[in-house]
Amino acid sequence: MSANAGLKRVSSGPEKSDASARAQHTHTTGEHSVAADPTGLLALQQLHGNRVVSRLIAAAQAQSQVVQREVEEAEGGEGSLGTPVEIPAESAAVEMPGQNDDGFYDGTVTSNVTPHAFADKGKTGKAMIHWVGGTGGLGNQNVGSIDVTAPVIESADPTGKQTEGRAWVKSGTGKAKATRSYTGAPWGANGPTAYLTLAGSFRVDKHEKLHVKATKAAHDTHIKPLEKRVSKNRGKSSALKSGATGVEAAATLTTALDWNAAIAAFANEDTTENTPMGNVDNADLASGTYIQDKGAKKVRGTDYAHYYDTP
Amino acid sequence: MRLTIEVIAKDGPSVTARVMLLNDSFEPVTFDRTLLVGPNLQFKGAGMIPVSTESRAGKGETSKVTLNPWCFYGRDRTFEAAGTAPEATFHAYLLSEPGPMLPKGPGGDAEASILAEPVRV
Repeated sequence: MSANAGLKRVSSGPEKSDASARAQHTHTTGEHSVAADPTGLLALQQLHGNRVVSRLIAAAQAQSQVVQREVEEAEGGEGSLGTPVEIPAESAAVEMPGQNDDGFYDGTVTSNVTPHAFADKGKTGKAMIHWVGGTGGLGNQNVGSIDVTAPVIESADPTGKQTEGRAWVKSGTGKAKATRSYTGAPWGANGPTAYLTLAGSFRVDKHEKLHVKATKAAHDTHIKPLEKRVSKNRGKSSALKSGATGVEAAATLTTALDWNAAIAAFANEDTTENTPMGNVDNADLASGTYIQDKGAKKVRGTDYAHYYDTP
Repeated sequence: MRLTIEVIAKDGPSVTARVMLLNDSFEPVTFDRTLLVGPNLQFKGAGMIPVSTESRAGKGETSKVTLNPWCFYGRDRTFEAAGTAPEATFHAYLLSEPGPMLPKGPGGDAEASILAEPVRV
C-alpha cells in the first residue's frame, strides 16, 4: 500500500486572482460581509453592478473554505520489518583531502560520521528508522563533506605595453560542490518493536530538511563567496593584473582566493551544525515538536514496544 | 517525591530501564504523568533519539495522577541496542510544567521539578 493511500486532502480554493484579491479588498474596506449581510450586498450591487458582486461572492466562498490536511493512517502502514543491529559509535572528525602542487585542497573533504539529516537532492528513499538499528532518518553524505576541484592558477608575464603580470584560474578548475540527500523512514512498523506514525514519518523528513538547510547556510556563507572570487578571475580574459611578473600576480590571486580557508570553514561549520546532537539536533529537540516514544501500544492487533509519534 | 532510574534487565544488547516516581512524603501528591520524561537513552555519538513519554489523556480522561504517601508510579522501556552502545546512560526527569523535552533535561526555559540521577548501563 502506498504512503498516499491513507491521505485525504481537502484542498483550498484556487489561488486568488488579482480580480478576486481586489474584490476581497473592496469587501473588507467597505465593511460589508458579503455572505451574511444581504443589505450590504444589495448596496454593492447597486453601486458596482452584478459582475463585481458575483466576483465578491466567489471570492468570499473561496476564502471560507477550510484549508485542512487530514491525515489518516491506512491499515497496516507501509513499514518494512527489519532486524535491529548494534548502534555504531560516532565521533565527528573532518578529514581534509590532499593538496595539489600549488598547495590547494583538492579532492573530497569528508568525515567519519553520517549526519542524522540533510537534503539538497531531497529524500532518496525510506528505510527502518535508525533508533531501532536501521538507516532511516539519516543523511546519505557525511557531515562536512564537499567535493572540490582545486583551482589551477595560470599566469603570464607582461608583454608589449602591459606593465603588470597576469594570473587567472584555469577554466574547469576551482569548483566546490556540496551535495546532500537523506533517507526517510516509513510510517507503520519499523522493525518488530517499533511503530512510527504517519505524522512521525513526516516529522523525520522535516528534521532532515533542517540539516539540509544548515548545510546550505554554511555553503552560502563560505562557498558562494569563494565561487564568486574564483569566477571573477576565471579564464585568461578575466585575469587578475598585479605585480611585475606572472608569478607575483599568481601569488596575489592565490591570496585573494583564500581557497583552503573557505573549504575548511565550510567543513567545520557544517560539522558543528549537523553532527549528531549538534546545533541542529538540539534546536529541533528544544522546539518541543519532535517525535516522542510513547511506549508500548497495540496497533491493529500487533504489539509494539515503542510507539513513536509527534507530541 | 523521589525519581529513580533502574536497569532491571539486560539481555545481550537489549536493556530494560525503569523509571519510578515515589511519593516519599506523608501527604498525597498529584502530578501530570505526561510531564514525566524517561527513561531516555543517551550514548556517545547518539543522534536524535526520541525521549520517552506517554500518550496524552483522551477526551473526558485526565493525565493527572494522585500518589498517596509511599506509593509509586513508573514505566519500563526496553532499548534493543543499549547494551552495546558506548557510554550508554539513562536519564529521566519530571517537568514542572509543559515545555521542551531534551534527553538529559528540559529545554528552553522549562524547569524540572525533579531530576533523576543518571544511570550508566
